[in-house]
Amino acid sequence: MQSERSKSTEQLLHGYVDEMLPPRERLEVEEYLTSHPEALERVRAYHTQNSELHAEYDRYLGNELPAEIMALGNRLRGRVSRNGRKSGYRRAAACSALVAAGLLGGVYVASGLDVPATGNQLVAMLDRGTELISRYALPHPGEEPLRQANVDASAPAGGLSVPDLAKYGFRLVESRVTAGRGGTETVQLTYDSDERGQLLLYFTPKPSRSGGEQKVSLNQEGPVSILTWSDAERSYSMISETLDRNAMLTLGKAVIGSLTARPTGSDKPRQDTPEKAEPAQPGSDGGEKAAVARASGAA
Amino acid sequence: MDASIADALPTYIKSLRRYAMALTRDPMEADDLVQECLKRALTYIKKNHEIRDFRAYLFTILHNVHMDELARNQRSGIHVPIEEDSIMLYYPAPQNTYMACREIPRALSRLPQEQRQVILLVGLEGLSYRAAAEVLGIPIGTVMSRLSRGREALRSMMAPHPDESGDHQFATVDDDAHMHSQRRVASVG
Repeated sequence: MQSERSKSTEQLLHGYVDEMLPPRERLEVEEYLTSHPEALERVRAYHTQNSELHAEYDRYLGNELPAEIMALGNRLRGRVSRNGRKSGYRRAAACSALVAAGLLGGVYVASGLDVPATGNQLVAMLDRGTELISRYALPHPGEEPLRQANVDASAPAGGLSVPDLAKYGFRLVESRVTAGRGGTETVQLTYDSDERGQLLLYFTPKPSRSGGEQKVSLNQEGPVSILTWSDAERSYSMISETLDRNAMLTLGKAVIGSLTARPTGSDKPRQDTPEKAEPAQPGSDGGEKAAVARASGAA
Repeated sequence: MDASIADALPTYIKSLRRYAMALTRDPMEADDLVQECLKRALTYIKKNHEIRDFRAYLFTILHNVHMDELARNQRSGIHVPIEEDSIMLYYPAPQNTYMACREIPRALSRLPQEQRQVILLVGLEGLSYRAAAEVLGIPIGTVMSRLSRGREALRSMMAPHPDESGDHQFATVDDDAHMHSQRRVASVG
């Protein structure tokens, strides 16, 4: 058996009996058994042992539990259910907070707001932004990741690089370009880290009325950190449920640095330039317009 | 933990009871083990720690309860039930001298305890080798070797022997006395 290099014949035979082998090894064992009658006899005996164990003891599965055990089981069941509900609430609250923050990020950038929201402002913005939920805050199942789709995330903002945060353990897992209120196009980039969770980054062109001053603000809404800033051309929001203040500022600086370092040649490849990206998918050559159209259609 | 565990709990408890029955061959002792296991689980779960595999977690607790029980019996002496059809002599015997025994419960009872546990967890309860190793607090390689030795011993005991002449031979010791007193903290989670 080829698998003998990593597993002994003994291990493979028992794994075969206990149905714990992957299909390839299972086939190898079956082939081995055809030419090793002694091993086949052992395997049959082990199968028989398992069958007899079940024949002898499975009747206890059908028996009613004694009252004392039943009572303890009910108490344990209640305890587990309550714990499950608690953790479910915690998960739901965390998800809601992240979605709300994502929505807020979308509202920030789509509205060209320069100031961070307080709690009350958040509620007001959520009210205002209800219509934007489907456009900005909720994921679109089946939407292609950036690398596969070869979407040019700089499209709506004109020549921006997609921030590469791999150095910080974050990988880009999704991008969306959507047409917001008044035709404003907003980019949502979703990064993920095995250790540090999810990071959302929104940016959009800034309305001309907003002026050109630089503003940076870091807000905490429950477990969610929201870093917002703007420059002469765009508004940005960066949102995380897990990063602390220092990590947010470090990543914010990295993002700003990446966004402002406009590549001028092949010596500074963008994250999704054809050199690094997957081959372009059919229909993805249209760059900005195709991406926006695709994303808008999905939205 | 979530609601699905709560839904599956009655099945888990029945499975625990089956394992305890196979392990002890005594309904009262088996029920005592399960009861004590559930009591301890109620105590531990107050701590609200994350549990990866709740079924394996319960088996781990049951294993600990059983080990404690064996250790207590060892201190106070083993009570041997006298039954007409099974007079067992409790003294150490060479490992390979097994009596021919066609019935799986009796053959199983003549295996060393640690082999019996592995065979029951894997062969009866369907635990993965890794889960069985976690329940017993031993390396996975040890699980494999105990499984292998135990199954071979069972095969030998259950095979027909030409000179087989009934139930007059001595049983090997149920080597509870050799059991490790090591106690694994119920921390599968």
